[in-house]
Amino acid sequence: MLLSLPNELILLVLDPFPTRSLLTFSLVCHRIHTIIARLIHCRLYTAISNLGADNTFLECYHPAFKPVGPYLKCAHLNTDALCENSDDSIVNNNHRRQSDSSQFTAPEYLSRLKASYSHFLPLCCSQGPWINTNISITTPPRYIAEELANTEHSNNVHIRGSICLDENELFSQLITTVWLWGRKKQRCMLDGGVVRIWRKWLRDRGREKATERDWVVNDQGSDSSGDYDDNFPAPQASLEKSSGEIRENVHPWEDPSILWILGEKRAGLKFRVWHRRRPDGMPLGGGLGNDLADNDDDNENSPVNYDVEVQELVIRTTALLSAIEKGWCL
Amino acid sequence: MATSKQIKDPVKLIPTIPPSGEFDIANFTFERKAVERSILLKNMLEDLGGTNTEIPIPNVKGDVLLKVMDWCDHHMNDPPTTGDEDNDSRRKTTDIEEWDQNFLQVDQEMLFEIILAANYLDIKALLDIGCKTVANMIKGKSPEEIRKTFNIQNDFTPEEEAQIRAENEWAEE
Repeated sequence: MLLSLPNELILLVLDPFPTRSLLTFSLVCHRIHTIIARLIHCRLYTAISNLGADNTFLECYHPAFKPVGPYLKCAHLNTDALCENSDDSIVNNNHRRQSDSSQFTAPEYLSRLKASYSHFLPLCCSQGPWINTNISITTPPRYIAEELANTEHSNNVHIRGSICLDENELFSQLITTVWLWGRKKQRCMLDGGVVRIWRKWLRDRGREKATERDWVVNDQGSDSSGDYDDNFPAPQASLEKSSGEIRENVHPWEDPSILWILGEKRAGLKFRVWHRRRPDGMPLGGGLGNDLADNDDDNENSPVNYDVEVQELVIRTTALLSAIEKGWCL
Repeated sequence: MATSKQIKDPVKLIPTIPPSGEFDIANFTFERKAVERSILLKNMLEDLGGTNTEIPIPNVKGDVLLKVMDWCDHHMNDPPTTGDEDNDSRRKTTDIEEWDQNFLQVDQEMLFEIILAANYLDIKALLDIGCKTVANMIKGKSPEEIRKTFNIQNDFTPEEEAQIRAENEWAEE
């Protein structure tokens, strides 16, 4: 008899329930399942639209450098599960194409939601490295996250830092926490823990970049058509570029350039890595010495330097939705 | 009931589906204020001007219309609803005032008819408590219990059911 009501009225009946209960109810029958999928989709859309740069924050530092000051604000880029409704041309991944070519059907939607990630761009507003990952660096970590909330983030730059591994050091680590802040200053920790950056991972990523022409850094920094210069390009510009560079058809789980906090894959950081041949002098691993550099890397024990840039913060969409629903954000 | 009272400003509603049993048009004469709880009818009355006070009502059975007008009669002096209530109503599924609770102590068929009528006649407050009542019938129940309550056929295969359970795991975190 409930089913004698039209869908919009069933929707009205189900609307007061938290998403957790709705998921239980979705097992009742196909029709209810479809209605619930749409309701959750609608909730997610609203939640994500209300997410400003003031809501998602990243804290990320080497254990030796606990920073003081505000956290890094993160601008929402896109959410996998919402992409089929989005005209956002930045998004260019497998999920979008799949949903373009197939009808929006509920069972598919809820399984996509489970695997969906929301992508954020962590920003700092002025130039210079933000994460100081190397204990040996003399300058103290600078916390430059203030006043960067403007959505155009025209003056903002990517978060960059350097990582040095000493002899016999197998990994470096970053203490990483992702926060959701509500309007009333409540905070909810979405995920927190250690991101471990292994020597081998750095080497592999560094090599990847070296083999892709795009990633080779122009030492002179004078060639404006260079694929990436050292002048900290504005995220907006490099974002467009990176969307082309991102290996297509890669889900975050299979993306080797993403390092996860702990093991649950609730939140992770997507890095770019450059090998730095010498600590001083040449700023970044240049095209000329790559072969030599790789040979050096093969020695597991030698000291190595890398520059890293945080391209994206990825957060499990369901974790985000759950946290928002608990009233942290709306 | 409306008929037992002196009606100051009467409006006649003529259901195109008459109620079961004897049909007395006198029973379908209501106070204008009560009728105006329905936004649809309020607009119609405005459009018709002061002269015509007889409105045919399609889509709502006579019995259901009487029941709905009973509610309107009781609530005709309620202050107009504000838009703010939307946000609050979402989480509170249980708070229905006592008179309304008793009013909605009806069989399921009537309950859903009332919801449909409230939707058609655009009586937001009634639609709201109707939906809340159904929500309360769902609340805390397992899918199987919901199916039983509302006589719904489980049209999932065991495989589909297993798949949906797996998809929904994240809510348990």
